[in-house]
Amino acid sequence: MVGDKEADCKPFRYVGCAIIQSGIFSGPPWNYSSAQVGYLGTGPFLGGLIAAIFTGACSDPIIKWMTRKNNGVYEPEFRLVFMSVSCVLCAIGMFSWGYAASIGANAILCAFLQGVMLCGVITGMFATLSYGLDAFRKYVLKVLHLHPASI
Amino acid sequence: MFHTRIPYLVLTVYHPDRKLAHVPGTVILDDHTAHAEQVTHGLKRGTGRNAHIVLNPQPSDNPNDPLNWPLFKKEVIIAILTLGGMLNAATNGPLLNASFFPISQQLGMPISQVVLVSGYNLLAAGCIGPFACALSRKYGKRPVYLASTLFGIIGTAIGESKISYNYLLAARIVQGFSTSAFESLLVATIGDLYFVHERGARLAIVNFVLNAANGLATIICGQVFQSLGWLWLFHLFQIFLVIQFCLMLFFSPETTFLRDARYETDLGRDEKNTEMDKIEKVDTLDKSQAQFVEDTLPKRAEAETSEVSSHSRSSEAIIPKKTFVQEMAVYTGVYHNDSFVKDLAGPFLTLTNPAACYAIITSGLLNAWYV
Repeated sequence: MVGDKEADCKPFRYVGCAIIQSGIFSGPPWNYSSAQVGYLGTGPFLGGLIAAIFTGACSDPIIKWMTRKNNGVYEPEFRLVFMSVSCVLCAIGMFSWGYAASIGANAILCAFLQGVMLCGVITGMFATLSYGLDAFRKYVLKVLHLHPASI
Repeated sequence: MFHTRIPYLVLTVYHPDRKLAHVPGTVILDDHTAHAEQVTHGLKRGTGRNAHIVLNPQPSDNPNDPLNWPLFKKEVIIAILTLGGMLNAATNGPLLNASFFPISQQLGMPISQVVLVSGYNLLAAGCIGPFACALSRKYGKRPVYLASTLFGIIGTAIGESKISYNYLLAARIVQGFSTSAFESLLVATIGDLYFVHERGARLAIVNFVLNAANGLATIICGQVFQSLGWLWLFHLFQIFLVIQFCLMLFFSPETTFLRDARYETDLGRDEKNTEMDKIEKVDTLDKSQAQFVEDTLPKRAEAETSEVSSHSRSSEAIIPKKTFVQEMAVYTGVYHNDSFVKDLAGPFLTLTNPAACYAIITSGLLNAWYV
């Protein structure tokens, strides 16, 4: 039974992290119930919260400051500075989470790493989405509608 | 001809003196620093400590222009729609994430087949995207929001009626149709309601709700599934969906608004022949407006802006404010007359622009990796 489940889960390891959470943590060595798997969502939730506060608080002051430096002309590219932060966080989160889950590390560590990953993902999506919104306001609907399609 | 953002950077580096090609989205935001007061003197500014900010986009003098609505009204609309996003996008996706294993045991099926249910949910969300786009461009965002939530309600009703794999699959597919509109239109609605210098904070909140709140949803859904069971997961979701639907029906007016092209402050708007403009063909302009733009093309920016201000003064108090019932109409007219097929293809044509392509692929990849 356990072996079956392991084999079943394997193809999904490469799909995405959130959907396969139950498949991974319900099995050995964790054997979690659905409520316990749910609690692992705390990590990504806090990670996302931190990212949202960070981008929300820093974004507008930073673009105002960069606009001043650029002789008062605002360019949507200013939003892309957040991609550098995203790059670092995503790399750390994604590689370590995959490794931690594969060796069956402490679940709290896995949740933490998932939080780091989501923090990077949110920051990066904020950067690209606000760039798209400011640069192509007229076409924003078209641009954004491809985005869920690409998931 | 093909003005992408990349040649702009190249030009800046190699030909610092050359007149630059128009870059969409580049605007004078802080005219105090830009020393462009003469150019921008006729334009509207922010109030209070934002008095030096040239409002972008420039609001018209129509009291029904969403940009002119009181801030409180804007925040209420965004709050209601964000609740919708929280339910239809952030909770809908990971609704079963914590409970796939117990579900597979309850059904006696392999977990891979049960996880596939969420895969179809995402597929449905993706497939409906171009349709939601085309419809919202033609009929406005409000009908699309309402229809999406209705899909969510119907799907959840299927899910709460019976414990069976087929019902679950059908429920998840119909629920998937509700996700797309909120994921994309919510950001566009912020563009409708707020000025550039106000958007950052709202975008961050919406981005958080759409993408990070699913962690919170997983916690709650796992707990509900364990304590109350499969069907109550759907019952509770249904309750919130119906509340949100009613709020949206009564307190969230249409935010799409056709503003005259003369209110554009985008620098160098005379460069109308970019690749994406060809797709669009400035179809929102009627003939007289197009004529106006053509007439003013050779004139200098100062002449144009004074034109804006004199025009705005003369048009004041001509248009009456809409009543509550008028504002809450679901159908508010056709916003442009392009063919539906062209609209459907529109999203894919934006991929021909490298910068748009970059924004789509980067955010899409980031999201796909995580979900």
